Amino acid sequence: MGGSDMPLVLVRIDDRLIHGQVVVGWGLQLKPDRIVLCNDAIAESPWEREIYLGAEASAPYPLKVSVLTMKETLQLIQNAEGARERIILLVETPQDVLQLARAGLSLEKINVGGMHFKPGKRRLAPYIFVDDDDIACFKAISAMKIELEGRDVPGSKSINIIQAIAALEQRSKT
Amino acid sequence: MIGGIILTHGTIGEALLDAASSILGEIDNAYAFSTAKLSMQRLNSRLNQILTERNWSDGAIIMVSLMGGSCWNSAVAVARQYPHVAVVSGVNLSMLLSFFTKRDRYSLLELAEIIREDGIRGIAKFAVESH
Repeated sequence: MGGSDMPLVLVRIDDRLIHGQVVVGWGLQLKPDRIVLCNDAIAESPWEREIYLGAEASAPYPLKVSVLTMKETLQLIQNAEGARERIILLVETPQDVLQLARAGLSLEKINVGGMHFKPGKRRLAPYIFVDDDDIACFKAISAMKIELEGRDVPGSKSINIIQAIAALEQRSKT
Repeated sequence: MIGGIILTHGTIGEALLDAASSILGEIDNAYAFSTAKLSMQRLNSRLNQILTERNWSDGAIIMVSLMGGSCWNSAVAVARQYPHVAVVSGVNLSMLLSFFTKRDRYSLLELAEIIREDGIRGIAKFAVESH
């Protein structure tokens, strides 16, 4: 998210993908023209695409939704036409963010909005659970000078992900 | 019997089911749970678990709080795997009362349409004109 011409108003990790917190919570605040859901598996599954495209009808403001593969996402954001829109970019995992960043997408800040409990994951926040691979990913993202902020909805408290990981690692040592 | 599952944000579902029982008396073949703190996979598996265990002969309706919300996304993803499961969004007390009082009289698809209409019919407005 370099200059002011960059279209990304929010880049978010959320394993529930497009849902109320994103469309209503962040959407009403950021007034996006488009939500881009970047997920190869969903982009290639017609019925899953359909579910998430439904947000166009349910959003309380005019909204376009694109469900794209990672490759298509990079093309959309890097081409000039896309740059005139305000875009919320959604991915499912920190691994997705790392892949986009390594593919050359310019990112300044990542919103970590939902990584819900799965067996073997440890709690970083009530809505963020991580395993060792997630932690390694976050550290790699941070090393690329990309800020990582935990926040589920605009009105909630901001969590510094890297500090929270350090605290988690400290706790597991003792 | 058509089963009822109420899947909502927060504790709306439990509270609505509780309110419906206070009006209709004890209600069976109904479940309410929240999307809070559950991943999509866990939401889906909870729905699958209820549908598989109960295996309602006349099908089931999943009533959710918000179209396009995680409750809707999960319910639709699960419902498409079953021949007799419908999803209706915007669950409110009118819709629930309609569901519980009419479910023995209609087929699954008829009931889904009827409770959608009754849910909407329950939304009215009143204001004194001078306001």
